Amino acid sequence: MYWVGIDVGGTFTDVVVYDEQAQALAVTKTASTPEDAARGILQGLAKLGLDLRATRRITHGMTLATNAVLEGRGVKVGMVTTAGFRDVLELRRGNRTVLYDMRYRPPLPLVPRSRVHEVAERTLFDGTVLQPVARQEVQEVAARLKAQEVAAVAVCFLHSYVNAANEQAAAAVIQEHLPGAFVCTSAEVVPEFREYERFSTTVLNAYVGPLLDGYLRHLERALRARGYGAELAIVTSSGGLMSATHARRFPVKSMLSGPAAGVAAAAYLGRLAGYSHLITYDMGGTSTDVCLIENGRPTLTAERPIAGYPNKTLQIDINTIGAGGGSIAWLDAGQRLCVGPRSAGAVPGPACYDQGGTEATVTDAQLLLNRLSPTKPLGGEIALKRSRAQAALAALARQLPGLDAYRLAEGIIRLAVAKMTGAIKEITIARGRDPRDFVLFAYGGAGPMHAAQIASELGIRTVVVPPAPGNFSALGMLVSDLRQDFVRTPRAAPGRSPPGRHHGALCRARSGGRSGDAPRGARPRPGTPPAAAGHALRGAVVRAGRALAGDVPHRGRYRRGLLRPPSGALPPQPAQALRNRQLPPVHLWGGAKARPEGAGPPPPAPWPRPSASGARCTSRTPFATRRCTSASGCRGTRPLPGRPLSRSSAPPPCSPQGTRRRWTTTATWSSCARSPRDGRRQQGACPYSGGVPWKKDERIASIPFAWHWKVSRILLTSS
Amino acid sequence: MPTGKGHPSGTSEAALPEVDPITLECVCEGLQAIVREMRAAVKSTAYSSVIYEMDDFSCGLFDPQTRLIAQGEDHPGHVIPLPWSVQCAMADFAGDLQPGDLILLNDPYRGGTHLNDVTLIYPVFLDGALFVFPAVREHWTDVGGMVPGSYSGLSTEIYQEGVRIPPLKICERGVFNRAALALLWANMRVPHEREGDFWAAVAALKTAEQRILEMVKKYGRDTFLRCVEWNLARSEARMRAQIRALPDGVYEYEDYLEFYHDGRLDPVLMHLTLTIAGDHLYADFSGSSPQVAGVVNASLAVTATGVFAALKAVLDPEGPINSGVFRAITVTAPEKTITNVGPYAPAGAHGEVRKRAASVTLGALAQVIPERVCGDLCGTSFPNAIGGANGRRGEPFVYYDALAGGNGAYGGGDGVSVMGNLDFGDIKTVLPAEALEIEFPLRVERLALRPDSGGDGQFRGGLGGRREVRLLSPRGAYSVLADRAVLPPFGVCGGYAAAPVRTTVVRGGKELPFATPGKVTGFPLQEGDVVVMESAGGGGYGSPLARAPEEVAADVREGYLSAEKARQVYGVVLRDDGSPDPEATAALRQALRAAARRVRVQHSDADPYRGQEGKHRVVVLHPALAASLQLAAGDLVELWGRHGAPLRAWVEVDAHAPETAVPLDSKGQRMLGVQPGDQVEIRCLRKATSMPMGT
Repeated sequence: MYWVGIDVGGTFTDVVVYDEQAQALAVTKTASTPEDAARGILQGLAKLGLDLRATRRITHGMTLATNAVLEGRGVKVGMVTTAGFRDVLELRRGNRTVLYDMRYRPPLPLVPRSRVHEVAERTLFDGTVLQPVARQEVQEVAARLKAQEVAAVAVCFLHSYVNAANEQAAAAVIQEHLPGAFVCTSAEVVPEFREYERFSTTVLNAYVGPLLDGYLRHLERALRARGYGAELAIVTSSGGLMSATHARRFPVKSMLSGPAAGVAAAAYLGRLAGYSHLITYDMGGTSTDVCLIENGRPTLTAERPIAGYPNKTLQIDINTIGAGGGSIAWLDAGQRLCVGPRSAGAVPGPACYDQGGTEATVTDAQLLLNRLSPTKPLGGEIALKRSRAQAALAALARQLPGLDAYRLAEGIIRLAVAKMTGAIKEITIARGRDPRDFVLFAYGGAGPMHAAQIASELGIRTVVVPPAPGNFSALGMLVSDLRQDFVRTPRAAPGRSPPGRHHGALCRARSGGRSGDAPRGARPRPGTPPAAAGHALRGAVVRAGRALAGDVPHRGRYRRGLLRPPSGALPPQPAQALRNRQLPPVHLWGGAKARPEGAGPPPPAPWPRPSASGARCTSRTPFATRRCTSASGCRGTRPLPGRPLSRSSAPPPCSPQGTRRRWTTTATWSSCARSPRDGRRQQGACPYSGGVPWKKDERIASIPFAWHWKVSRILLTSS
Repeated sequence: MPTGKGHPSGTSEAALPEVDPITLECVCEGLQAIVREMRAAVKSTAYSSVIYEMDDFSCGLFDPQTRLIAQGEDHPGHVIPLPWSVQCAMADFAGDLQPGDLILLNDPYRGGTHLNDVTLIYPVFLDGALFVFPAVREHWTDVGGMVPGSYSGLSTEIYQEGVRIPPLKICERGVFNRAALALLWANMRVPHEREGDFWAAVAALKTAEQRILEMVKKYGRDTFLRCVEWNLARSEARMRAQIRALPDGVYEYEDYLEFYHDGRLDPVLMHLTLTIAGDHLYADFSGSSPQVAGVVNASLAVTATGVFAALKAVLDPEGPINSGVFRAITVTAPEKTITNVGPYAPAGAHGEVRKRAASVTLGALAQVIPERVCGDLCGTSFPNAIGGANGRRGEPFVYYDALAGGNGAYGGGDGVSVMGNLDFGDIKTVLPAEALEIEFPLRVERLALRPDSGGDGQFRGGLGGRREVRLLSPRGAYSVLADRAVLPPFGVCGGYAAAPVRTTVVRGGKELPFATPGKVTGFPLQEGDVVVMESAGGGGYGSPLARAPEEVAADVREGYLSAEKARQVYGVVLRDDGSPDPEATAALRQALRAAARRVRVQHSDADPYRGQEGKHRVVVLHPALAASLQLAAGDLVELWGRHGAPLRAWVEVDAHAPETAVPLDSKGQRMLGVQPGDQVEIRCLRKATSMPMGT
């Protein structure tokens, strides 16, 4: 039997197949076909000659929903809302994210005012229905929506997160009158308080709903026609899997499908490598994603907007910054050297691609400093021209007194590194985590190249680089587990609400119940003034819970409550909401697995071993983790002392004799042997500064002077 | 790029080491990161919703010379006056600061803005010497005083606005002054929230100390200081370059704040003389009204903030913010005026004074670079407070709401509706109805845009918002401190004024209007009363007759604009299907252009100002002329000359006035850019019958 992972990106469609019997892995890459993504997938599957009848599960990650929002290509949405609240989307939270700028404009609402219709109805904060919906009125609204030719309708009523009766009643009438339209309610998408954020998420869901529905329906049909019997699984933003049926109802949950799979895979591989605290660091061409994994679990959030629109679905908390390998270095009006967020992209690309780009990028800087091979094509495809990089950098350096192209190149990299470091600090230090307690897990096209430097900045002592870091997300499809996320907004006082009480509310949520009877909180006692520091700490501790599990109900108020039930306390019967009975059921985030007896196949595929068609690495090393340990760490040989550099030195040449000089951040030269192929041979030997090979002559990591590296084996088991 | 030599900040930096541009960026970014971390600490530990839902707080870092060296996404109204707060604290405690000391203040005469903004300053020491001051300024929902929420429109002395805290050591050598804290909590409503907010600020300051010391350890003290100097110097150079590009000259502008004298409107004058001299800019507020026994007074630091925010928005929105930038701008004002308050006048309307300072700066700049300014801001922070006993919980509650208004339109785009203005931080001014209803005995009945409230123009000002809230507890008190409730925000370059702020209470289906619009103190509410709060729009840009008819039609279709106004103001005639009728529109626009009321200017040496405590400009018209212009005594009008911004005046009718001309003093002529014999356009803004004025 086979397990298949499919990652459809903007440029390439990656298909990864794991053969259970042979315990072998096969990978293929085909060009994406944006006009009909299914075609690219089927081509990829055909290329591998796969028998879909013998396929246990196909897992799919995609960027369709995200791109539709980012590019404004969603469908025409209508909205039905409580009378008096027509303008919630346009009012937003009344804030400006760009200060001082009189020309700043927030994104336009996805539903223009003329397509927002009010209905006289009202539910109160405690779930009481003050005014039920009048069928007649909703019918009139439905007629107006029909006249406006909307393809999707978001039904968004106040306080529906406590009692969705009115919303459901209205939605039923609308669906009846617009049978072809995609209708969703705010309570089913994200039953959380704060109307703007909930309505926005619901509208996002409607905005991409018909697109995903059509695409997945088409893909499923095509797969079924080729013999695939099980249901298609879709990667969720929270790094789990949902059935395609579910994804068609709630496409907003697949917004971060691609990057989430990468993080989930990092968590998995990290665990196998013996690391449970990771900072994942995925640096691509235009942007970099960083994420925190604690105790083997990625941190989750519901606070990250997409294209400026709040999206309250649970997602892996990925912090994205606009700096990548293609980021352009430039001087602002005050002669400040800046890197990014503008990127040279794939076209024209960095100057060294020699495709017309003239501005210096991070990749050009890396090339000039010999951290990329000037002779080997990048990714085996793009030939790099060092002279172009040098010209671009020199042109910029001329505007900066006292800097030559080499110093500038180093500076650009240091600035890029400072940005990455800042992004990592935001997810660690700013949340009370010490980055030194974590391992840096680097992937993406440009990630491993900067990883060691970032690690040094943050005091991180170990860096792990997975095999094939450029295609890591696709591999992640195979290790993701089924999962469904629930959210409720209960109310309780701090100190008087043991987690078990919230668990009740959550269980009701899972079984489709209502939380109108959720525990009502008592008033908090006014705090007796303790010692100063202790009191400050008390405030912090109350919210520390929130940081871990979303907003914890706070001082007798409703706050967002993402609740983590105590392990093993879940009812044996999983939610009906997970419609696909063929799949192993619910995996509550952070909670225990609940697997009813006799349910489907065993847990997800074990991490597969590479097949013959896999990477041509050392034969029986299924996975090589590049672990970089700093000189101050336990793997203790001393680095070679570097010679100080005079400022007037010549550029580092590429020596044909197999010895290359490399420019390192410590501003010293270090000579070293070229491209060692056997990690073990190098262990404890020459400190290597530059690329570490994965395949022959392909460098994927750049390791500064003071670091040692080794390749270690990980024993893979299926448990 | 700054070099090591000869940059303006002087002192002993010759001894400091050379720093490469990369380290410079790393240190500067690092300082910003510290401020961001402080913000995260405050937000995640504070107790009151004004801070954790609205983000009404700010953080900054200062050096021992009281210069702002770093701030983040912080509220300009908080963070820009902060150097003065640190100066006041240093003046009191210089030489007497020890490690472990912590200074608390909110006194508007001594480093504060208004009493609700409570500031904590924490001197951090390095090797026994003062090194950096982190500071946090938080808006506390209540600091005592005569009404829930503390500040209100009709206060006459500062004691009514809450507890005044001059700079004091709330913590001395690590020991907190529990007596002082107990006294504070005893005098504020909902004290446990205040306490939680206080400790949140302490936590942020402690965090900052740790990070600063870590950073110094990494880069070294000298490198750190050098980077700070360079950063200030290059920021200054950047601002100076922007100012240098403006034509030198002296530009004047005036505007008003709404003050009630014995229940009658007595507008107070804010007068700005903006001098551009080379790469330096001087803003002088001489000629403004003396401070009044009302809320519309503020400290010079607050006034300067308004000037700075407007300049930055027009000249260089992306530039950094630190004391280096401020060095290129000098703001002065005579003492004991509305722009430089002294004891013991109230100072609740600091946000309004700041916004008006921004308005007059925009008005003055509209004379120099009209194509780069925007229409006036919505003119007020619009703080509303409803307090009372919470029937559900039996404890007092204070609900604080500051719905944002519209933004001014600019050449190239409409103003954004209901969004914090350019002098505002990233404050979430729209509180979720669902959160309010859980928290307070209130029901939100409407949260909507306010159609027709944006200033009309080729580019339309942003709309204000409307929130209706029903009181569900037996008793309550409503207060508001708004401005621009009578005088609307102005448009520029021919754009129209926006709708002013409006608040009412609806009881039993009937509106109870307030006699003093925008300024209400403790109006007693009954159960079931609905408080209606409508924020102002933003001023328009350019003539509405130049707006594309299709855009007007779209505005009508989306309900931003009424069809009636589209016809009357924009001259756009719509067909039944909502599309514009080109011929009818062209004809109507021509007729409207011809109907504009233009009058010749005649020089006058008479004093154009009237007022009791306040001061407002009058325009004296002959009865026949007034009648032909359909104006009556007491009407508020706008005069438009050659410059980008209009001049406001109240009509006086006098038989001795010239019959066919409007008399104007030389200052008025300068502000409008007209000379005797030129024509000015007169637009009526508000009829005397709806003006709550005495005379």
